[in-house]
Amino acid sequence: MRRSEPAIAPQMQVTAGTLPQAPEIAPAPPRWSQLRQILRQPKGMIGLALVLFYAVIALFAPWIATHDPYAQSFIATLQPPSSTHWFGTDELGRDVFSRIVTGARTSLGIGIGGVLVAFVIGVPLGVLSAWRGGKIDFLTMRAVDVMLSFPDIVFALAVVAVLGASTQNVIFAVGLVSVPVFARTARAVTLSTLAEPYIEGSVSLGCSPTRVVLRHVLPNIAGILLTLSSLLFASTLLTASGLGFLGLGTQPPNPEWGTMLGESRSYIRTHPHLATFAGLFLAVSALAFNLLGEALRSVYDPSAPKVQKRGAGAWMNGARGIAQRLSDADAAASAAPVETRNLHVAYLTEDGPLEVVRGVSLRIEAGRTLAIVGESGSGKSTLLRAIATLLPQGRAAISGGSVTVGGQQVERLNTRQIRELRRQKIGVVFQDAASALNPVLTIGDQIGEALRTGSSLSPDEIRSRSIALLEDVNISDPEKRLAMYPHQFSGGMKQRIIIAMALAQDPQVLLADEPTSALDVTIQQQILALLRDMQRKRGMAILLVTHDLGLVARYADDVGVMYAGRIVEAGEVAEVFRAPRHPYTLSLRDSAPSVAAARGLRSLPAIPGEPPNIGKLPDGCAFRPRCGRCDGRSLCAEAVPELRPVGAQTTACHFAEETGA
Amino acid sequence: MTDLTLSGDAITARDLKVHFPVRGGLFSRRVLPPVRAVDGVSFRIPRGSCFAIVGESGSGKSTLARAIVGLLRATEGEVVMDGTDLAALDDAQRRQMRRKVQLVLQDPHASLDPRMTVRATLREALIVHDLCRDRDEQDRRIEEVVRQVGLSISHLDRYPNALSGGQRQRVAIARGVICKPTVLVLDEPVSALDVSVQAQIINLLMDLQKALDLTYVIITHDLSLVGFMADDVGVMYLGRFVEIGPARQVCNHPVHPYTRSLLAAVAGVDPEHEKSRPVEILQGSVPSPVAMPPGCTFHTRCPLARDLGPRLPPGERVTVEGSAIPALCAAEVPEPRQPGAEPVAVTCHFAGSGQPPETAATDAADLQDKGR
Repeated sequence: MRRSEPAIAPQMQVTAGTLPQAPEIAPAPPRWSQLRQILRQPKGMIGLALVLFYAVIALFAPWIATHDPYAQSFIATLQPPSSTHWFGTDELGRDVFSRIVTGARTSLGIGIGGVLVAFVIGVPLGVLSAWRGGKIDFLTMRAVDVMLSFPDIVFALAVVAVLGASTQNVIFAVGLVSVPVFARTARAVTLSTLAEPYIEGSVSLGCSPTRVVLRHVLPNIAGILLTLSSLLFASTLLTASGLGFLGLGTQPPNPEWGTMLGESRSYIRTHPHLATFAGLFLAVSALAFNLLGEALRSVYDPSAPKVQKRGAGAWMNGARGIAQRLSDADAAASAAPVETRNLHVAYLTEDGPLEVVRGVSLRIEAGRTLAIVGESGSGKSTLLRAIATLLPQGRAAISGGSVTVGGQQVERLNTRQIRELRRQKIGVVFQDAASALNPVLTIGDQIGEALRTGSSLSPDEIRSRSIALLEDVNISDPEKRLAMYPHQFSGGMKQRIIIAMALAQDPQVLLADEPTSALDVTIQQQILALLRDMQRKRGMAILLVTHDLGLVARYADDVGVMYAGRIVEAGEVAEVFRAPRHPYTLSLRDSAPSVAAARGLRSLPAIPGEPPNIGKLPDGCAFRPRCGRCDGRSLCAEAVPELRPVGAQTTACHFAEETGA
Repeated sequence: MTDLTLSGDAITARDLKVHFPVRGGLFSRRVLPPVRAVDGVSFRIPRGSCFAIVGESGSGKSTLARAIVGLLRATEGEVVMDGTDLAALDDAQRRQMRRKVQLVLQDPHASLDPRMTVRATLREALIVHDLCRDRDEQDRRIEEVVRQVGLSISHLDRYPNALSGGQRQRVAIARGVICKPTVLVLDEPVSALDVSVQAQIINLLMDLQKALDLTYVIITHDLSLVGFMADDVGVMYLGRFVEIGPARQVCNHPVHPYTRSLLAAVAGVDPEHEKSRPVEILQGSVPSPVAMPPGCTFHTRCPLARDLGPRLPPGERVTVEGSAIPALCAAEVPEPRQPGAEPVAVTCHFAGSGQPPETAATDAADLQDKGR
């Protein structure tokens, strides 16, 4: 790791299924936080400052201007900048500075007016065509396509030529030119918003279409449209200036930047200052709105990279240093395929590092399955990613303890060695099979790639091994399937293919994060039975992360129950489930509907309260606020219970012995 | 209230079909066979009871739910709610009707508008149906409902992103009950929630049902939930009910081979039992509803047919995907029939007629009994 990490790292942005769950951070109220988010970005700050600067000029032009912008003086024509005429004078002896300042109102007015026209026509069109679909949609979009096929300036020219040259007509023309962009964008974002479940929710509530559009669709697409407006402002301004330059815009003697630029073209060689200042103001205003638009976009578009607090890189490197030192002291290599010792993993949040795995020691022997059970925020997925060496770089790091995979301590390896380790010893299966396969490559390509990396197999060998792998995961007709694309397979089949790829390099360890949660119940069983068979054949160690106790009971050998970043109970599945000693495990087992139905209960023994917020854990035992056993005893609040042997398993509860029958 | 509403049934559906047209070709001219998402289902749901619709993805259970709520129009057949045929209503009347039938969606992270506070979300329901005279009355009703679902007044001015998954689902339920509906359709109400929160929400739902005299329609894939909550259950496969009857009977003594497979897939939390019992895992996945198999739609995966096929004389069996099955299964669509004394209708040519070995059934029953 080089020490020169970029100061600005992408902020943690978590998408369900592909990244570990975000540690819960108390969110700020939406309104002011958006302004703060804009100001936090350099481009947002500069953009906003410049836009304000222009607004001030436009609003206070009469007071800022040093001369009368219309006063001609034939004694002082075409003078270079001086202390009386800051920007010089033009061919009629008018003060350029005053003209630029006065022209700000018209120029910016054209920009804003143009965007407004485009917005008012384009957005309703787009929303309507998305909402109604069918013929309306088809006709609108084809019309828009036709409009888009003309260059902006030509189209605007034609409109002005028909309507006549005046400021109002220019506004209308440049606005009309931008209608297609608004219509298309509005249609696209409306379509995606309409697909949101809360829209269906409000329709089923009985909301009328108008209400749905006004109350639910518009507020949710407003952010993107606002961003688009500020981006389009710049191009509108430039188109308008282009018209002005061609003499079709604002008519003399009224000052407007584009017209001024046009007038100055005869003097460009002899008196360049005339073009320079008007051009500069025009260019900078376009830049200002562009910067602001970009900043707005990264606030509203969740997929855009976001800014991170300064010092992120330094902290990450520091965390690595700690991990390194600890593991040096604890150098004994482990023989087990997977072992972690007092592992701590922290996420970098806006408020500093946040530990989501807080001291986990585990060990999986070859041929055994360890299930990690926990709810969202328990740190189970992060733990799996730390072992898989797949923590999102720059956002999370091992902050203490060690991970050993196949006898190699992960923290001591360099980037290349980690890649080797991942390739040879670790197979990973995630929940979302659909997104784990590349839709434009055939299955054969993708399995082939998994086989090829770092080996020197011939194409024929790769093919025959790919076929063997598909046969292993019970996919019939493997020869034919190799040429097929992911979308031609069902969810269960895709997950089989992912497993085949994970097994391609014959790993010692298979890490599976909720491998079946997205699948139907009957398919779940197929996949887990397949994993079990593969394990029997190959002797892999499996780490299975899940929330389904039934699957654990059926398919795992050992279990670790995680709560708030720690393992609170661990042991053989048979022992832990037969007689849970930790109140959390006990409640989890007993709150399953099947258990309650079997006992003839009419109400489920639920665990009160909410899953823990890892940033705001109570002192002492993290489960204390929800625990029925604690009963206000002070020991629970004073000391964090350590895992200790109780009965046949280990349990982290001060009062584990109190477990009733 | 008219007499009709007291007649006992909250919802009845007769031979309900929901088909989606499929168009192909360059100018969408060619009309392809429709997707038969729901293909002829009939059921009645008595007032105050809980009816569960169980099936895998692609079974048509969500489409059926939306047809009941009136979000989708029936292609054929009818849904009668409180004596009113939904098909006879125009759009505005339908929206009126929606007050009586509310839908609670699966994922509370996505089903609430992120830009509305809890109070605004709940107020909207009251505004849409014009239920309160003024803002004060609205606020009183909102506060009453919020307490009913176990939230506090302090949650009202929060945005959904400041609530946990369980709290959001409580808000979704509050929105469902605020305009005093008679039927609540719950689409996978707990499957997106944390395990420790699921039980809370299930308890809440059961308490509300009793307190507000609600009729529930639960869409789920989780048979253990059905055994606990539902009075009746319909097991769906490719748009039809393969088995429908009292939940207790269907869960304890499943007859249809598909129901049995689903029940076998439910894993209990007793590791010794789970590891030792033989589980017959259903092979393959649900066929596409565009190209439905002929005859009994389940014959491509049916373990019972595979069991019976080889014992039949060659003339009475056919080979499908490498296994022999009875020719009847691939040729003729089975009609619902009642195999035993219990009011359970099973759509299968053979199940429950005493011929097949009862392995799967004893297995599932064993699971239930052992739990007791």
